[in-house]
Amino acid sequence: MSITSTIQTVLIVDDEITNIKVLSSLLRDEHKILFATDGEGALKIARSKQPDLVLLDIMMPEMDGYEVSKHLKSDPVTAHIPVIFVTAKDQEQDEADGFKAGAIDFITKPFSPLIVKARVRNHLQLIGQRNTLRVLSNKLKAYHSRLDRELQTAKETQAFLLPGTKLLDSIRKNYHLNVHVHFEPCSELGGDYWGIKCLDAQRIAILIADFSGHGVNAALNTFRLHALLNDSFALADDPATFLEKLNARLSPLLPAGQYATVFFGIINHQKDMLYYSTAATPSPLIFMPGATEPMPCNGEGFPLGMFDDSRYEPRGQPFPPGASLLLYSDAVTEGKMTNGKRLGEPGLIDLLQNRIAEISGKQLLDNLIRQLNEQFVHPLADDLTVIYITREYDKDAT
Amino acid sequence: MPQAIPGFDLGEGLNRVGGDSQLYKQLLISFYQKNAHLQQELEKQIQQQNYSAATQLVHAVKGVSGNLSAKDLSAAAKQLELSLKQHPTPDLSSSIEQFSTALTVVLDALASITVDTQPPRHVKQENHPLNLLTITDAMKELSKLLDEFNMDAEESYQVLQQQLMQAEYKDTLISLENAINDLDFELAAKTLNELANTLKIKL
Repeated sequence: MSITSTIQTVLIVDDEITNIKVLSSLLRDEHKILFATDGEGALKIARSKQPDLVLLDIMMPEMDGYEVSKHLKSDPVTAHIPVIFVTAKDQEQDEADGFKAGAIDFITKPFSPLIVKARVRNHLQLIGQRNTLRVLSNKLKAYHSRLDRELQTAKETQAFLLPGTKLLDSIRKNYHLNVHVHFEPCSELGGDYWGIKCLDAQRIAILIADFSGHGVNAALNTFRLHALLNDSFALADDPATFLEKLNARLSPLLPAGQYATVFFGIINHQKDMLYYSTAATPSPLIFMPGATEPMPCNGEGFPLGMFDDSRYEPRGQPFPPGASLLLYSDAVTEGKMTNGKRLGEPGLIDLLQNRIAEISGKQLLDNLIRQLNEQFVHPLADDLTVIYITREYDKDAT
Repeated sequence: MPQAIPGFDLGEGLNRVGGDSQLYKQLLISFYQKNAHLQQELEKQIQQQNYSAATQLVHAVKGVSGNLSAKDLSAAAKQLELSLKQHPTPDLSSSIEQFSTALTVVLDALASITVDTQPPRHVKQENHPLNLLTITDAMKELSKLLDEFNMDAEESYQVLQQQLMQAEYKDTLISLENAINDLDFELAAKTLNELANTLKIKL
């Protein structure tokens, strides 16, 4: 790292002009020399000219060097300016008091030219390096600040892509589906995504995707997916075909080595069925009414983006009123726990069983997240998304 | 500059100001002018038992004489300062005597130098036409340096002085040079402004 090339400024403060001139004659070839012959003048110049270093005589009438130093150190405008006291050799107590008053060093009278030059040069080099670091640090802080602001904006934009409370309330009211979601990116931006879409009066489509990696890169992919989904839901009659077409459109857009695991399902109220297709997702869990533990479904299939022409298997499971569906990103089963192990699908089922009938969907999800948080190593290494959908019993049914 | 001055280590003193004999001589003269009546002032303060003021006087001499390499005087000042700080325990008389002797040696030696001193360079008088553009630049630069209490004002003054050799500015220039030499930059700035007004230059 280079030291700043600008000539550094030294303020010499002494009530004896001979001492000022002697010091100045030694230093003026290398530095810009300002002077003051009393404490008041020193403070004024230090504030207005911001010297890099102050050489300060101790014994001065009215305001002595200690007092000047204390004023300099207590003023935010001058507190950073280093002070070297200029004193006679026999005044050891002066030196002790000087350090207390904020001095970084001492120069003794009569001055030794070589030592004065070397000592001032060394301190100014250190100051120059410190200033360079301060400038770099400020730049870094500004950069971080800008990055934080931009990431915050991006985070808000990403959150805007996801279904809002209003939509979920509407789905609860019109489709008797309770949808509870926990969405927790492991950094400012996440690579998880989910969406829900009312296809017609009887059918609701739901999708959960987890892009490889996390952070900005993965987040950009969620934006790509979102843009594609907007006009792909029209193709959603058959989940397998939907995934094939989505894969064909998404694959060319994803950089090499990046892909997404996806669950896409359609809850059909008329047929009391969940039709779905998967692309390498963790097993969706279905909770049938009255069952004490969930039933894992098949989550196999090639991730989206791996091959341009992947084919996906159409699947279906009964999904009557009272049934529930748990969808989750692999952070749940693959996330590292404090015991060094991973939860796995059996571990997740263990956490869920025997609780299903007793509690609401929201309580189940909250309990699950609480238990995961207790067991997981923090901070999380991957984005964590869990969606729990419960089909209410039809109140109008006879 | 003489080969030797009683009471001074000239080699060391010159070395301390980077070999600038003109500056060193100026400092010696300044020391003489400031301390020519120090003995009387010191006796007065001691007589009035104003030991704090006496200590200040001696402390100042100790530092300056040390830097000018008046070694005996600096050592005597150091001893007297110590005695004054401890007063009334030790007897001051021997320290005072030692200090007075050393001071007398130095002042006597410097008196002859002061007499020998040549007039400053600016008394050279020429009457070539004024280059107002150059003078304005030089005055503005000097004004800026005086304003920020920058020691480069001494050199900047020399540039200005080279441009103003006319007899009518001689007295003002002497005042200006003296103020700069005495590091009285406020007075120097005032004098410079007066000069600028005379020349109808706006600083």
